[in-house]
Amino acid sequence: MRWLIGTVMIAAALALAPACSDDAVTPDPEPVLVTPPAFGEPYDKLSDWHLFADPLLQLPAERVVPYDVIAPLFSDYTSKWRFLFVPEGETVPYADEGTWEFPVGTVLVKTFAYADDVREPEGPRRILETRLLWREPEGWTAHTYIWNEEQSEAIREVGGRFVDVTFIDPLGATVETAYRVPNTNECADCHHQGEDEAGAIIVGPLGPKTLQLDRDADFGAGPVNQLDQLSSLGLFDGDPTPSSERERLVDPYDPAEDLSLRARSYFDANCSGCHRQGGSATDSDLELDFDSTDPTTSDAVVWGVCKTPTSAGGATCGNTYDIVPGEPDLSIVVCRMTATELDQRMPPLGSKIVHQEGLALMREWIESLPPASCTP
Amino acid sequence: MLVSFSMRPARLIPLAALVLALAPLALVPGCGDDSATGGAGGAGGGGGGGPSEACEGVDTTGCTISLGPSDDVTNELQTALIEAESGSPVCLCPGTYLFDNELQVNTPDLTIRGVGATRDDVVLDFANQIGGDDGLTATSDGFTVENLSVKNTTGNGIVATGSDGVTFRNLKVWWDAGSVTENGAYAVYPISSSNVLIEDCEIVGAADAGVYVGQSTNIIVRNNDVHANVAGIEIENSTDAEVYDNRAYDNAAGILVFALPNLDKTDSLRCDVHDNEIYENNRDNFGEEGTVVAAVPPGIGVLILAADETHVHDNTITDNVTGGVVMVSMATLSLLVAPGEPDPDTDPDPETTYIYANTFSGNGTDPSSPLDLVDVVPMEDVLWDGVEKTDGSGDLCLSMTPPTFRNIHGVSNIANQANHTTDTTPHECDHTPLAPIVLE
Ligand code: HEC
Ligand code: HEC
Repeated sequence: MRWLIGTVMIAAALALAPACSDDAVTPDPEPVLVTPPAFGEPYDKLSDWHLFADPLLQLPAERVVPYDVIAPLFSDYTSKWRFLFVPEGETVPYADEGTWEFPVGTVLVKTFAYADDVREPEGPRRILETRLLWREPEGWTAHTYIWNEEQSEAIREVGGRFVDVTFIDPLGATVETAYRVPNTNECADCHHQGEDEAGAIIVGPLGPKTLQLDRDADFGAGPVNQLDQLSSLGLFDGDPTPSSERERLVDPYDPAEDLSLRARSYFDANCSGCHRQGGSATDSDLELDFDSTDPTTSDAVVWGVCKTPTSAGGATCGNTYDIVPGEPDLSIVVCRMTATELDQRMPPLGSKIVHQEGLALMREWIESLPPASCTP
Repeated sequence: MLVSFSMRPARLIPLAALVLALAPLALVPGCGDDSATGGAGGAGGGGGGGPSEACEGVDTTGCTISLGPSDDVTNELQTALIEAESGSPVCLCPGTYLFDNELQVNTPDLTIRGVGATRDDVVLDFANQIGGDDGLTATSDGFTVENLSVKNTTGNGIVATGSDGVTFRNLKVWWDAGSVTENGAYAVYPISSSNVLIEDCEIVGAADAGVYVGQSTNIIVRNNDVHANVAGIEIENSTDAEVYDNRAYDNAAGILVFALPNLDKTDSLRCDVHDNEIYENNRDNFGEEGTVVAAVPPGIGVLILAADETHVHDNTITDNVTGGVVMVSMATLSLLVAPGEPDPDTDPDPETTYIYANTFSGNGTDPSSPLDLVDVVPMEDVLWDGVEKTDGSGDLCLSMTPPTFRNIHGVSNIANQANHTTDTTPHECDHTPLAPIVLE
């Protein structure tokens, strides 16, 4: 239960280090207030938003609330911080289902960093980018800011680029990879919420929903449930449903949890951005969001059982069905998560490194499924 | 009721934690100035960047943004494509552009135009691509690409998904490696789109179909040179397509009109294939194993699979060693590839086909498997598997001056010549010609 405390602890510690502003040695005692730009004119510098009391430490400014998700998106072993900022006087209608509806002016924030050694997330690290989803009057817009090597500022990046990184992976191996800072259109591939009349993609948040946030986190006074915390901060319009009645994801890597729930949580976090109704992988007819993978309410072919590929072209590894119960090696889902070729790889964006822990979970789960018509 | 949020961490952090966490400090805030330095720079707006040498002396009239090759061209062009206003052409000056990532368009009414003297002067090379698998993709309406070359994409060359108004004009799409399985599947690929125009292109080496139009409506494919692909031109689960004045040669199969099962758009209707030159489509099939196209027997001029109201007329169809025009149902397809889940929404048989006024010569001289089982050399100009729901429901017309013809009367009869017929009398009829396509 130290998902947040780790972040906050190191952040606070670093706050004691000298900063390089004009008044370098005197820590600023004033609360930092978020200063959003005029709509339609995102700042070119991250610092101009004043989202952080200390950006390097990812210490949030006033009203910027840190949160964590139950099942994170795997992004090649980067560590992440997440925050939400809702303007003063505004609230969010509480909802059990779907992503919450945020008011105009909301800023959702996600910062990516590499720990030099991912086994020591609180050790030395390099912050790569800070991504924002900004609720403007016309809808959400996506922005990302790439941190400079000095780690003193981050500059808005529209066209995306690769950043060479080196880190030590969970097995102790040194990995060199080209980390992808997505271009604005790539954000839309995952954050796709439909299209406007001219076919331009509408984007929206993915993480802030009861399914993902209903977990404990430490805001400084010991672990508390995040929904309770957000509620007591006055974020919600309406009270959360009692905890016992809420549906939530589980930690996909916790062997104590139910295997099916672990697999469904993994899919929801890592695949459903694109594989859900209205997502960018609609042509594949494969839906992997938490609801669509519920075996009690959803037809198994919807989430891939004995489903022949529709749009995969040659990317099938010679296999016939997306999921063959009992047979991970015959399942296209497994081979596409194992593949590194650009035209095979799943997910096609957001990660380049095969996620061994996720893959192991998929195999275990497919092996456990009861035989179906396509099981040989 | 609203309590003001206050998340001042200083208030929240236990002091002990502060002390503990001091040890691993590695990063102290750097003392750089505010501007980004080092590799991570490149603020928004780069696309409009300074004038490129490549554009000197080039006529860029009508271009809102003109770019030339550079070390950072993926970022520059992608930024331009994102920041361009609707309706403002993004122009590429002569040179070879090396991209490391797929390029994506999500801005309505956007044109990407090569401004060289010919399409060969502006080359978009994706050999060094490490992100995304297609070359150029668009999801917005009104997408035009013209007068340039695209080569070496891992996946498809140029893709338009769900766009109303797609124009691919005077393009060359190819792969340095020649015709190999590792090439991208489709070279130009509008899918789930409408009002599609593909003209004056040269397409070479696609590992599936050179020109592939999927699940689209209102389509013109004209005056293209399509060669050394697995399939030259494929129109799949689409409605109202006109394919004319093209040259399809040296592919494994020339022109395909398909209806495949388990797709969102279930039918394939009114494809008018006329005035094309379709010759010597005898290349070994180098398609990726497991794909439908990889199962197509090489040597076919025109292959119709389960599509309805296909018209094939006024074409010159010559020297395709398996057959000139082959028309089959899903039943025959399942001889060749693993059947998917049966799809009750797709009609498995081709109906109301009209084949007339074509010039055939030299076809069917050496049919490849499994059509060699028919055991006729030369194969007739039009071969039909004869699968229909009820006698005559196929409604095939071959006009009053029919070509040579063979009906094998069901897949199971393929090697049973005694059950075949070659009599054209039942098919000496005419359908109403299809109206020319008008794009909106
Ligand atoms: C590979 C898919 C993918 C891409 C590409 C992607 N995101 Fe996300 N993003 C997610 C998922 C899934 C979540 C929620 C889970 C989590 O936070 O781990 C998320 C979370 C976020 C959040 C936190 C709020 C939320 O919606 O949960 C922000 C802000 C964000 N992304 C911005 C961006 C921006 C800006 C870009 C482009 C520069 C981008 N994302 C690209 C998948 C993606
Ligand atoms: C950034 C968007 C995106 C994400 C995230 C993503 N996919 Fe996909 N996926 C696609 C697209 C687009 C297709 C269709 C084209 C293709 O097959 O390559 C697809 C196709 C597939 C197919 C073939 C399905 C069929 O029936 O045709 C499988 C299997 C698959 N994805 C599995 C996954 C899994 C498992 C994950 C999560 C670990 C995942 N995908 C995450 C975009 C995505």
